[in-house]
Amino acid sequence: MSGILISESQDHALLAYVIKCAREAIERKNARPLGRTAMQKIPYFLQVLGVPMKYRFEIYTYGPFCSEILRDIEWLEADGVITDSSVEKEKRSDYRPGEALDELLAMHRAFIDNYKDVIENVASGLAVVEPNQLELLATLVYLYRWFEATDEAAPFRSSVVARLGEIKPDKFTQANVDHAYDWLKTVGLVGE
Amino acid sequence: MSSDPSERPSDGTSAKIESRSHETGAIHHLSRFRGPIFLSERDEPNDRVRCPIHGFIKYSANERRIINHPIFQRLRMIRQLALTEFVYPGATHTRFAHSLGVMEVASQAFDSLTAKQGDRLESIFGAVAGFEGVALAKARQILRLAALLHDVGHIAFSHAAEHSLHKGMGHEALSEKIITDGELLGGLLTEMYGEDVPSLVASLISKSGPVPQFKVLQDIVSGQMDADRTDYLLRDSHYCGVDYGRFDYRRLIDSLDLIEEEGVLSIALKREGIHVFEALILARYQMSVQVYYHRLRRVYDKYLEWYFENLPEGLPQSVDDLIGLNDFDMFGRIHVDSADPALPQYQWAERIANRRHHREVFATGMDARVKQLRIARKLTDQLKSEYTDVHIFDDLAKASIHKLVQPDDRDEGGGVDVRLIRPYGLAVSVAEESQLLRDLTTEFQCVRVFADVEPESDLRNEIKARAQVIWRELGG
Repeated sequence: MSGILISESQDHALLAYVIKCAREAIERKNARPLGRTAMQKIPYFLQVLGVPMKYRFEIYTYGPFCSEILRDIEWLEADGVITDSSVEKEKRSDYRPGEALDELLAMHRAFIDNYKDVIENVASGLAVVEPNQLELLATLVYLYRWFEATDEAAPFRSSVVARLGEIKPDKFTQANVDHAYDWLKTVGLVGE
Repeated sequence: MSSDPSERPSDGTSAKIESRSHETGAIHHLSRFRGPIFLSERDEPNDRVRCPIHGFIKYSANERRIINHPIFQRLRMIRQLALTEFVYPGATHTRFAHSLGVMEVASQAFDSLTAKQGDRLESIFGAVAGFEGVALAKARQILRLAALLHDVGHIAFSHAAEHSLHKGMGHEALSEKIITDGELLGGLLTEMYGEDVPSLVASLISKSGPVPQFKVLQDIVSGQMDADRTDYLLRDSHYCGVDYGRFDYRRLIDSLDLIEEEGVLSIALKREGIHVFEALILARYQMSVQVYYHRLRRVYDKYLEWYFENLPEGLPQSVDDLIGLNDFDMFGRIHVDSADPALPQYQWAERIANRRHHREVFATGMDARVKQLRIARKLTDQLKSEYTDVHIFDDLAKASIHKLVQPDDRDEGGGVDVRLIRPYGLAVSVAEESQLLRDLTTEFQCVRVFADVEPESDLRNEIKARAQVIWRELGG
């Protein structure tokens, strides 16, 4: 069966475009497949950057999560907007554009065009990042927002990094943390 | 239930909090906090109003100014469940009463948490800019305001007509606009509570959420076991005359606790709260199936959608136009329009005015698989092509029952979780502990097909039989 029957919304189109951009980046860099972890973190960061969406993320120790995204991805797959090419679907996913992807994007062209740059930037940047590094990125953003809300004056970088070491000791190397923080700065998710 | 706020001192640097059991009146917890309990005398809850669900709901002089503001008073003219009264005649209650109820439940939840973890919360909130010295009082106040105003952006027929009327600005975005705009409620909030408060209140109801320190407050208003859900399940049950939505919410509130894991502070449940949490989820499931997604309610939602989309003057665009819409005015307009067949919106107005609706000719199960949803949509197209003289449409209804992910899903991207605190402080997932929740569907989703036929007609029976044949042919 083909044709879009159930995944018609703007949020479906957003997820589809994320998958399109992420997959292109993965192919350019020959990176690991696009899985469920990345498809939680990329929309979360897009929401922090102001892209409107219906999803409400819960923040837990392994980072932001929204179960509605899983359902919407399932619907996209059923409509042929995307595919999951994984041979072990129970364990991991490998999302790729499907034959109906362009049809769905065309239905929401104005919305996608409005946020095209930020979606492309974040999706292509994060798609090639390892899942544990995505957890690091999410935690850094969480801690930055925590310190930013206090009476302390910027810069917050050293406070954020020190707190990270307390709550997730020995989990990330200093080089990892520095690299991650610098990338978050370039996309505007944290300041110095 | 936790302490009655009016029993607390409004000032003092070493306030003693007494938390009383709702049922026994016994004092069950004592704690000491540094800051005041209320921000000022005008924030002490000295006024009260009767509520059929919660008894008395108390509010302050400052809160009374918000409640009496025309933007909030308009919620008296917006029914909680739109045209559900066409199915359950008692369901005529309003967003106004629900909003007061959410404020009350949120306050009880906050007081339950501060009774157990007040020192910790005072320390966390007190580090936020603008909260030093007034941490709990100010946090409690912004929580009450967010709860009171969480639905202030609803317009005529609440969710029913949202798809049509809220194009470009959903009710949550409109609520945020009303709360922060100085010309709407933002000015009043700033005058009474300070210039940082409107944005803080708005952040508690926004999708993107507040600063991390206040995520707990957001979860009280709209989380996995929140004040909004608690009040609407109880209230809607009461007014619909059904019992599906009732659960022992006082026990739930009493079981609330906090947990901090790897720097993330979350609301958790004490071990003894698991059974009432299960009851909450079951209540949500039953109310979704029996009330919120009742087939006839969904038919009338469609009529409202089509009515608004066919209005000759188009849909309202400005904020002023949107908040000017209420059920009372629109009901009047619908009745007027139902008498003029020349109008493009006539056929939908006439159906609503005369309660003359399409009949169900097919439905998938309540937890249909995705493939079945698609097949049902194909089935609709097939019926339309075969019965060209009959108006046929379908409705895809979907709702989240709970968001708890099974434990073994965590490897790939984590999962939504409610932590259960066992004795001696060990925390586990609620889903790990509850066989019932593991077995309960996470989503309610179905497709129903409706046709413009008489209830007991041969034509209806013929279409129903034909739908079953098509369903099987398509592999449903």
